[in-house]
Amino acid sequence: MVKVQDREFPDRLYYDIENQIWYEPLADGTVRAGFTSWAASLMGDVLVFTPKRLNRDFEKGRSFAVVEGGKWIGSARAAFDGIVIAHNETLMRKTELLNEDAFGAGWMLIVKPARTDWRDGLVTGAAICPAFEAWLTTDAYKNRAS
Amino acid sequence: MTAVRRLIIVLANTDPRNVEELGAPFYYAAVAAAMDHQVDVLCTATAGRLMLKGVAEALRAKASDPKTIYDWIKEAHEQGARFWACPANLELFDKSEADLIPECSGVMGAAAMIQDIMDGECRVLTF
Repeated sequence: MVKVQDREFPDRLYYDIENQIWYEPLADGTVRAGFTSWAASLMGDVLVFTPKRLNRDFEKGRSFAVVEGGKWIGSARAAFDGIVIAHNETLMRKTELLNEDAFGAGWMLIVKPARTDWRDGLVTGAAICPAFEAWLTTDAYKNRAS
Repeated sequence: MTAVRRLIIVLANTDPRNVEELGAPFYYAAVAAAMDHQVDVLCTATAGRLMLKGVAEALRAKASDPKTIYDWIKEAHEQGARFWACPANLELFDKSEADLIPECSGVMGAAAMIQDIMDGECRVLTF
């Protein structure tokens, strides 16, 4: 576990820092994805979680899920090209899981990356902390947190 | 079959005097843009006033809500939605493009919009 400003991040996961999405490689070659607890805390209460439909492909930088908070809208943008394999049906019914357990029961999707190099550009292990701390100084973070 | 990715949202029946009507069109525009659809919002008839400086800023869907209708427009715009005024509508209000809010990309003529719709290049939501 890595600690960044009192918040814990599992170091086995791969992070897209800019979009605050985590990815977990699964044994069958697919990848589980979810918002970080940091992103969830910035969102506040989530009312609706709408993932992209099953078997639909998505491109790097494009939306593969949308969350709605009643007074705001957030898009989960993918870090690589792929196809949506599964949704977290429980999260669709119990959106509070995103805030309660972002790295566990609050996962969003399982996807199949289009290429084997999907980890490129993501950070994991010892690289997580410096990458997060650098991100916290960016305008992208400050705009999101304000 | 290639999926249609463009959505035109037409506000023609939305009346700024009935504030409860005002949140939904912009909320839908923001969600559709967040889903990476190309969203064009055309405000015409009485709703055309919402594209004029100072109008949406003074309106709230709920009196106790700090978020103004202009904040909703800005949110949808930040998500990627484009806003358009109707040239004939500006004429109705004796206004010009200089009177439009910065989030409004300009004017969209009726013929251009109808052509895109009839060519099947987009889907339409009306409010």
